[in-house]
Amino acid sequence: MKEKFKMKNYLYMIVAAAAIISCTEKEAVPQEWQFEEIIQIEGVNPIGIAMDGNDIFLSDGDHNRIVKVDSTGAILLEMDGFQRPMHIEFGEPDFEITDKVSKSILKERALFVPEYGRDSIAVMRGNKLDYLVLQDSLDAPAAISVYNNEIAIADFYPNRVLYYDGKNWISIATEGKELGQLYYPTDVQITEKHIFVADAYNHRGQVFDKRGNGVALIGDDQKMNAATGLFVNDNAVYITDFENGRILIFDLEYHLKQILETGIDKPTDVYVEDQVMYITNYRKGQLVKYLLKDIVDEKL
Amino acid sequence: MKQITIILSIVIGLFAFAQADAQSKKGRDTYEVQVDGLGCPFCAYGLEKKFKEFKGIKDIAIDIETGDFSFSYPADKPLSLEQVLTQVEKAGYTPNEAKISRADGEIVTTKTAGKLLNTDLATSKLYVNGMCGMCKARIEKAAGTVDGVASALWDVDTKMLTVSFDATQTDEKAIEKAAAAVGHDTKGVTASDKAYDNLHPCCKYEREI
Repeated sequence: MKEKFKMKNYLYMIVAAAAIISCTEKEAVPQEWQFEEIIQIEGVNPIGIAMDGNDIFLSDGDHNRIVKVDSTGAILLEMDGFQRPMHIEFGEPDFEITDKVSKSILKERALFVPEYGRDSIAVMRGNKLDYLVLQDSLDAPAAISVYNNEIAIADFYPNRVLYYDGKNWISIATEGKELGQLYYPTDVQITEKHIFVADAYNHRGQVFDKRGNGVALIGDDQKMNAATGLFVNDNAVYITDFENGRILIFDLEYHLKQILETGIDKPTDVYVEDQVMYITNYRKGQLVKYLLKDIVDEKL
Repeated sequence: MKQITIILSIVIGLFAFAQADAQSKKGRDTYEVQVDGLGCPFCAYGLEKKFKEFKGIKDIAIDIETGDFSFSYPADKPLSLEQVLTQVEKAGYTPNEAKISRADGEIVTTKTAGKLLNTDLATSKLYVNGMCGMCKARIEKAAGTVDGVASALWDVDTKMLTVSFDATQTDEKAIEKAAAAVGHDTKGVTASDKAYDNLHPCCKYEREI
């Protein structure tokens, strides 16, 4: 009888433990990006966006400056004197820079600014301005990506990406429409294994390995019209579809996951941090904010 | 007294500044070109970059919406209309009307006198392939230059060209040929590969044939 009682107790304990585990294990809820708000930025036509903590940095190509804005769109800081600054990025590579008088090695975090009109990459730290020392000449650099000591530059008119692996530079791609070829690249991002490119006037994204071989096309069946900006994180690839006013989101096997349209008009760049996405509306001078939220089943 | 002196100094200073400004403008010609719709900032800045090959260029202004492009250049080394239009083409764009206002008051322009038309006009809708604002400007310009055409309006979404024309001077086929000549396939006339290849990167639409 005692044994039977013990056995029964064990059974109760197992059931209770199972119930506790099932309660603590939260079921994964599917999520999607949802429109949050439009942030007007007076007098700015943003092309590129980069973030440093909560500060949002924008390249204002039409007005040859970089501006720092807060989350309401108020301009906190303006830095003039650039010539058509494009897609910008923060980074800290050990790379040679020059202030046009002497050369040194960059040893701190800086904002990298491709100057489309000056064929150079400006390196900005506070009020100090230097330039990357490059062995090759650029013709309208449209974007830069910095990943540890690696650098990639989207070189618009030569239809190529210049890639530095930490030791050597290589020139990636030739002009054309095939895999491995580009037609006016306007944005670039290095990840651990790949180099992603906004292949603007082939109307697609493209993925290269770090030896410069084309390995995949993204969204070439989505009828994009000028794929001007691109962002990649651990979950997805985000591409701006400039003329159609859309952001296309692909998973990391490059299948389309979601299309964003609300509030988006002539987008040039996109930036994602955690659950927040900012999109630059170039012509209207706006930032569009989206949030990653759980999908609510309206039938419930 | 001190205040009067200060005010006088400011007035004299402003006068001198205005004179210097007028002098510097006096020595420069002003150029205005209407370029086929510049779709994106990359295109617009590319046009500007190409014109910076003209050393001494200043006051560059580009309106991406309208395609209006203007700049000033020293009057002592005047550019010809042909040089300006060629430079636009070298940058990969199609120039429409252009105007030079010389510092000495002379005006040079590409504008031609309007054509005399029959008031009884025919209207047709023609399919013309294309994909953007730049295509729109090019298609409408090509159709509009056909003798007898009064108006041409292309819709980027439907790809239909609505054209009014004097049927005694031209016909649908001639208008389709004009669109195809600048790279745009129509239902009845296919553009040559060369004309299609010459289109700006923004405009390379998906061909159906």
